[in-house]
Amino acid sequence: MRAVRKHIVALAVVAAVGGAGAVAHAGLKSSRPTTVSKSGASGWADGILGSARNGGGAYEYLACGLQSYSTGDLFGFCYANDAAGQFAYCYTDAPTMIEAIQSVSGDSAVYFEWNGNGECTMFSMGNGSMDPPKLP
Amino acid sequence: MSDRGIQRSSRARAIAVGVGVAVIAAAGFTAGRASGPDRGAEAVARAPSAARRAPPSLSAIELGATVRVAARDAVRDALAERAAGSEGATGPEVAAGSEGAAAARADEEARDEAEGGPEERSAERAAAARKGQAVVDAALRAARWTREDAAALRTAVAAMSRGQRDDLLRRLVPAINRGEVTPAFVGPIF
Repeated sequence: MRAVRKHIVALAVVAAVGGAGAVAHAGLKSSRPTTVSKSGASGWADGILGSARNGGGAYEYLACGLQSYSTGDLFGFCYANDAAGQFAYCYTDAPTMIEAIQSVSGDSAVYFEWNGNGECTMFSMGNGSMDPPKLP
Repeated sequence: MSDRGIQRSSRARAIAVGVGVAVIAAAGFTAGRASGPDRGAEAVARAPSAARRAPPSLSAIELGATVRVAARDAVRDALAERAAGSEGATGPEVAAGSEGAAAARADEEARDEAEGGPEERSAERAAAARKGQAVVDAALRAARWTREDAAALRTAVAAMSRGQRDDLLRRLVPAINRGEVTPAFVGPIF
């Protein structure tokens, strides 16, 4: 009986040490809220798709996508809504920007700017180890 | 030989020497005109093509004519080179632009043809633009953009020309971004 108890204690110690080691070697994890900043009809938005889904308030979301028509027209677009309920949208038919938008994955970080016509004037995306994946 | 005979012989020798000198001088002058660095030859040296092919021995009249031809050719060559150079600097873009525009026009025409001809296509576009305009006007009045509005606009945009689409989106999207129209759903606005 005593031997069994010893064995259990030893296993618990090993598990605790192993767990502590795992925590000590975890990489940086970061998160940031979706931000929408406006100046009249132009502005910028920034956020991480995973952060918006996991930690954001009820209003927070962020998305990018493409629309293709049988006429041959192809649009790229992004939109964002911050925790305060500020919404922004931009669209583009610029091929290089469409190509960049295409590379957005489910856990990307995204930044975009728009002009007074609602057209995307700048788009940036990245995938980093520190960015959180989307949780169910 | 008498004095008179000696005199006659000396005169004949002098004449012969004079003629010889004149012949040599004439030959030298001709050779010099043909190969020497006179102004006509310099012009020929500067001028490309035709003048360089000129024969080595020419009369002054022929040489003048050749120089005129060479100068004309040189000007023509320079103009041609300049034209070729400027074409090289901007040609590909211009050509690509023209090709792109031509291809777009061809696509447009093919589409018009497939969809019942340019008149019908134009009427369809105008109807789509009117429909889109009505949807946007109503949303601006209501200060609200619904899922149904988005679906209607999506259908209309698919049938519009690029200019009509841009005009419409330039009214709707800035109004949304200014907060004057609020989306009532989550998703792309059209």
